[in-house]
Amino acid sequence: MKRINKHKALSPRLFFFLLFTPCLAFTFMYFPLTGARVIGTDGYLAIPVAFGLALPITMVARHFTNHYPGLTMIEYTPLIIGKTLGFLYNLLYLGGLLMITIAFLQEVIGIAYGFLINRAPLSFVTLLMVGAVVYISYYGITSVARLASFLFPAALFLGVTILLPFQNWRLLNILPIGGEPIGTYLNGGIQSLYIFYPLTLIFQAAAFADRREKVFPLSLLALGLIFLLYFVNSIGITGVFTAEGITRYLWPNMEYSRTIDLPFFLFEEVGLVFNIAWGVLSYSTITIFFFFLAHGLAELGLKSKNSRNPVSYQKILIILSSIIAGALQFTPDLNIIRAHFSSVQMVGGLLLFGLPLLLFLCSLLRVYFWRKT
Amino acid sequence: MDKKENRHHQQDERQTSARGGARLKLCLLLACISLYSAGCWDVLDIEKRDLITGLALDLTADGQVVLTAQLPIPKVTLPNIWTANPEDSFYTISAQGASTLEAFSHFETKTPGHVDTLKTNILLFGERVVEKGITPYLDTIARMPKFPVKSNLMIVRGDPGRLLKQEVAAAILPSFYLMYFFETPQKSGMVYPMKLWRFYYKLDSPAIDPYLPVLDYHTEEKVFLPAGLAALSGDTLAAYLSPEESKIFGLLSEEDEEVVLSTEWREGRTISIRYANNRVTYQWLPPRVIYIHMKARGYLLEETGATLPLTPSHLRQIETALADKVKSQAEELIRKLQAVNSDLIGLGRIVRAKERQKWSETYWRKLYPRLEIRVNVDFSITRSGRLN
Amino acid sequence: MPPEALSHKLQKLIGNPWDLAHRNLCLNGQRLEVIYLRGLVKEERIDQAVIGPLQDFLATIEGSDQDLFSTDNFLPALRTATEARILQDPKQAAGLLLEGWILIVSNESKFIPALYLPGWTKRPPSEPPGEKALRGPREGFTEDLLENITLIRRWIKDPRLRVEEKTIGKRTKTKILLAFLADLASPELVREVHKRLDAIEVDAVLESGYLEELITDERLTIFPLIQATERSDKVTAALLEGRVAILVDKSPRVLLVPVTINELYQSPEDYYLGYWLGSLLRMIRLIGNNLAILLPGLYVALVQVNPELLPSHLLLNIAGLRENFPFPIVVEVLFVALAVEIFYESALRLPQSVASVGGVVSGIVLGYATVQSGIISSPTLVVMIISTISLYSGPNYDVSIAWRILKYLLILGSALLGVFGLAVTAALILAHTATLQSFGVSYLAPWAPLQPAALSDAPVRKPLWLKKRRLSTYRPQEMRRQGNTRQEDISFRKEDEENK
Repeated sequence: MKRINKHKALSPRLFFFLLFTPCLAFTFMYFPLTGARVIGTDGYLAIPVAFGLALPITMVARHFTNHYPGLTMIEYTPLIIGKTLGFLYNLLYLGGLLMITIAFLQEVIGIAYGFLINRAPLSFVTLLMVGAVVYISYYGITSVARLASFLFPAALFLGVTILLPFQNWRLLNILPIGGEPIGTYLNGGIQSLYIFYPLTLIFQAAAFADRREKVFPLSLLALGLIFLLYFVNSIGITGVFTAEGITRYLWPNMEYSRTIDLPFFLFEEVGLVFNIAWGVLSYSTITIFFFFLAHGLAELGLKSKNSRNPVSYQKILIILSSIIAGALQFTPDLNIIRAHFSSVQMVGGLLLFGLPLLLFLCSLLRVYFWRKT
Repeated sequence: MDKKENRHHQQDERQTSARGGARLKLCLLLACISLYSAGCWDVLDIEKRDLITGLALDLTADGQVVLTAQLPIPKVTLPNIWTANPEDSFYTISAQGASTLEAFSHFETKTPGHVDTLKTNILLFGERVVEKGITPYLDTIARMPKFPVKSNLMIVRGDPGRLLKQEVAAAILPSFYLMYFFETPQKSGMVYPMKLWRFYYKLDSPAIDPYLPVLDYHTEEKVFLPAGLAALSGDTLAAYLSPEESKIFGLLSEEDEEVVLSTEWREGRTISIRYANNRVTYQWLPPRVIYIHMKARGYLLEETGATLPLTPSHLRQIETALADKVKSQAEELIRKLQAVNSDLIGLGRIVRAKERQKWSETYWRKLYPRLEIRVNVDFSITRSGRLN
Repeated sequence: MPPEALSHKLQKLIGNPWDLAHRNLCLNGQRLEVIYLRGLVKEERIDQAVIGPLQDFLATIEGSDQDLFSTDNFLPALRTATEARILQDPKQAAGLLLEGWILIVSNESKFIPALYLPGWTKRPPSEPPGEKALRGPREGFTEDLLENITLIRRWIKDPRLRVEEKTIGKRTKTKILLAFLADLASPELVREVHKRLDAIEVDAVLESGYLEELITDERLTIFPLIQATERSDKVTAALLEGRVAILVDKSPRVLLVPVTINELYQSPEDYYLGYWLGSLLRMIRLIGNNLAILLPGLYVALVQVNPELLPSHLLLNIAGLRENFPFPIVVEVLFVALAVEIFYESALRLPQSVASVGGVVSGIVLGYATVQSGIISSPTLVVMIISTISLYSGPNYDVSIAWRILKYLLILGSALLGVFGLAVTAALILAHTATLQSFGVSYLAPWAPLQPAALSDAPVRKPLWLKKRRLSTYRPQEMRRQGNTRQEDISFRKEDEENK
C-alpha cells in the first residue's frame, strides 16, 4: 500500500480547519431558504435533521481510516470493488465534487456581482479567482490547510455577526415549533443535507492526517460546530424575517447581516463586511475543492502519452482550472441553477454521500463476510 | 567536450530553458495585468456621484409615478463652509414615468453625475401609492442591491415631494433631520420607525401587517411633525391611527418602550405616566377569543392636583385609572383595526402558533375581523421622580 | 632560499602593492625581513610586539642548529602577538598577508612565521540608527567580526555557545561566523545552515545581504525570510530561543535564522518595559502596520468603488473636499505614494544640516501647496500621511520594505474590484506567506499552523514569570527555560522595616 509522504501530513489542527472551513462557507449565504420553503415557520428544524443524516458519514470515514490507513478513497476503492468498477466509481465521485465546485463558484460570482461589483467582465473576475486559487493549491495540502487555518478569524467574525441581528428578533416569528407531519421534517432535512456536502472531503483528506486516531473526533467536532452555527443562524434569521420573509431573498443571510444596527461601528453597513469575510472563506473553500479534485484525478493514475509516470496533480490542476474557468463563462445563470436546485442537490447527494455509503456496505461485506482486508 | 563539461553544458541548457519558461510566464502575467489594468470598470469618483439622501414616491391622478429626489450639494455641506441659508445645501429633482423604474431612469438626464441611491435613508410615499397597493411601486427599489435596507419609510398626507423641498429650522439637510428623528432612541415614544427590511418581512408574513409612520410639516416653525401611523392591510392603506392611538399600538405590540400617557384620575386632577418595561402575553381560547395581558411599569411624570404627597391608596387609584384607560383605548383600537382587517399587532402569529394545521392566510383574513379580543392591563408605578 | 628571493616571491604573488611594507632586519647576525600591509597592521607596536621578542628569541637560540622558526621554539616566544602561525606555503602566506598578518622571512628557515597584530580603523559600537529603542543597551554591531562576537560573548557566558568559522567569496575571502547554543539549536537547523553556506560559490561577499539572498528558502518572494539586525540584545535573545546567528566580516548586520513574520514585529524593549506596556506597544505595531498596508487600498476601494460602506456625512465631506480636483483618487494615491518614496530616498542622502529643512519643505510646504493648488485633495493627503508614518511603526526595516511594495498591489486590486478586489489581493498575499518557510519553520507561525502555547506571546507580551518554556516554533532541543520565580512576599519586607 502506498503511504502518504509524512512531510505533507496534516497536524490535527490543520485537518480540522480543512474540514471546517468548506462546510461553513459552502451554503452559508442561502441555506435558510430550504427549511423555510419546505417546512415553514419552524424550518430551522431541518438543520438538526440534516445533521443527524450526515453523522453516519463520519462513522463511514472512520471505518475506512481504520481499514485502509494512509490511503485516499480514490486509492482504496479499486481494492474494494475492483479496478474497473473502482475507476467508474471514482469518476462519478469526482464528477459530483466538480459539480458542487462549479455551483459554489457560481454563487460566489453571483454575490460578487450582486453586491460588490457591476461592470467588471466575468472573464477577468473568473481569471483572478481561479488564478488565485490555483496559486495556493499548487503548493500542496499543507499550504491549503494553512490558509484555511489563518482565515479562521473570518469564521469567528461570521459567528459574531449571526448573533448581532438578535436585537431585532421576535419569539413569535419562530412559532409554532412542531405540528407538521414527521415526513415534512424529514423531507426538509434531506433537502438541507447539501449543507454538509463538503464533509465528503474527509474521504480524501483522512489520508493526509498524521494522527489517524484523531480523524473521527475532529470530523465530529467540525460537524458539531457547523451544526451549532447553522442552527443558531437559522433560528435567528427566522426570528427576524419569518419563514415567508426569508423566501423573498436570494441570499437571506446577506440580508440578515444588513439589518444589524451598530451606532458606533466604523462602517455604516455591517452587511458588506460580512460579505467580504464570507468571501475570503469562500476563497479558501474553493482552494480546497480544487486541490482535492486535481489530486483525485491524479490518483486515478492517468498517464500522459509519452511518459511512464502518472501526470502530476499540478499539471492536472492547471488544466482543470482552465476548463472550469472556461465553463463558468457558459454555465447557466444562477437563477436557472436555483430553479433546478433540488435536482442538483439530489444528484450531489447521491454522488457525494450515497456512493461512499455504498462503498462502505461493500467494504463491510468484504471485511466481515468474505474476511478480506 | 569531456563528460564533466558535457554535464555542465546540459545543466546550463536546462537552466536556460527553465529561465526562458519563467520569463515567458512573467511576460504573459505582465501583459494580462496591463491589459486588465486599463479596466477599473467599477471605479467612479465620489464627487461624480449624485447621492440621493431622500426619495419621495407618489402617483398622479392618472396613475403616473412621480419621483422626487433630494440631493445634497457636498461642497456646501462641508463643516467649515456651511451656508447661512440651509436651502442652498441641497436641490431637488422630479421625474415622472409609467413605472418607478421609468421615472428613476429620467433622473440621470437631470444630474451631472451618476445618480446613486447608496445613501437614500428616507423614503416617502404619497397616500395614493399606498391606497393602490405599495408593492408594484416598491419592487424596483427593493431589487437594488445597494439600496440601504435600513432606509426609513414614511407616508405623507399630501404631496411627499413638497416635503422634501422644505428647509428645516435646525439648518441641516432635511433628509438627515428625518434620519436622526427616527433613529434617536429617546424619541421612541413618539415615532415608530419602519425600515425597509422590516416593512418587507411584515408584508411577506401573512400573520402580521405592516404600518407606516405618517409625517407632516409645520410651515411656520419649519419642523417635521409625526402625525400618527398608517395601518396597512397587506400592502394597501387601511386606516390612519392618531398619535394617541399610535401610543396604544406601541404598548400592545411592544414596538415601543417609552410611551407617555395622561388620564384624569380624580376630578380636575390629571396624571401623566411614562411607560417603561412593558410586557405583553397572549392567550388563545378557541374558537375565537384572544386575551391580551399587559403588564406594565411606569414612572410618574406629572400630577396636576393637590400639593399634598400622594399616599399608597392614591397610587392604587392612579394605577387603576390608567389601567382602565389603556384597556378601553386598546380595545377600541383593536376594533378599529379589525374593521379594516389590518393585523398590525400580529395576532395572526399567536393563532398560527396554536392552530397550525388549520391556519392559512385566507382562514386568518376571515377570522380576524370576527375575533373577540379582550385586554387586561396590570399597571404599577415604580418611580415618582424627586417628589413623594 | 634567501629572504630576498622569498620576499620577492611573496610580493609578486600579491602584485607588489603600494601599501606593502618590508623592513630588513639584522638581528643577532640573522638577516630577516618583516613584511606586512601598512593599513592592516598596528605599525606602532611592531617593534615592541614583534621585533623585540624576535631579538630576544634569536639570542636564546644562538649557536643552535635547529631551524630558526621551528614551532617548538618560536611560537611560545611570541607571546605578545594576538595569534601566531608557522607556514610553509608561500601562497598561504600571501593569503594571510592580505588578511593583515605580519610575515617574517629568513634565509635560515623554510618556515614563514605569521603573526596577527590587527590595527585597522574600527568604528566604535554605537546605537543602530534603524533600530532605536526607548530602553535597553545602545550598542550595535560594527564592521569588525571580533568585536561583534565579543559583544555576544559579553551576553552569553555559557560554555555551550559555539562559534564556527567559514570563509566565503573567492576574491574577498570573507570570514563568516556561525553562532549558536549547542544544547538549544536543533542539529538539523545547524546542518542546514552549514549546507547552504557551503553551497555558495561567489566572487565576493560584501555585506551580509549577499548571504541573505543566497541562502534564503524562497528567492522570488518579497518577504524577508532571514532576519537581519544590528542589535546585540536581539541576537542574544534569538540564540536563547534556539536560533542560529550568522556574522559576516565587514558587515554590522547579523543574520538570524530561522525567522517568522511574528518575530519581525517584536522588539527587545517589549521585554524591558513591563508586560502591559510591552503588550500595548506590540498591538500598536500590529495595528499601525495593518493600517499602513490596508489604508490606501481601503480608501481607494471605499471612496471610488464601494462608497456605501462609509457613513453618509463622511462621504459627503469627502465629496465636497474633492470637488474640482482633476485626478481620480487612485492617481492621487499613487502620485503621493511615489512622491513619498522619492523623498525617502533623498532624505537618506541629504546632508544632516539640510535634512531637517528637507523634512519641513516636503512635509508641510509641499503638502499644503499641493492641496491649495488643487492638485491633490486633502483627504488623500491625510490618508497617505497616516499610512506612510504607520509603515515604520514596526521594528524591522526589511519587512516594512516588503509592505511598501505590496501596498501598490493592494491599491491596484482595490482600483480594479473595490473591496472585493482588496480582499482577494490581501487573501492572495496571505496565502503566499502561508506557503513560505524559513529553514523549515512556517513563516506564519504561530498563527499558521496554530500553536496556542506560542500564540500567547504573539499579539501580546507574555509576562516573564510565565515564560517557563521556550517557543516550539524553532524546535529547540531544550524546551524548559527557567524554574519558578516566586514573588517576594511583601509582608516580609514590612516586618523587616518595622524591626529596623
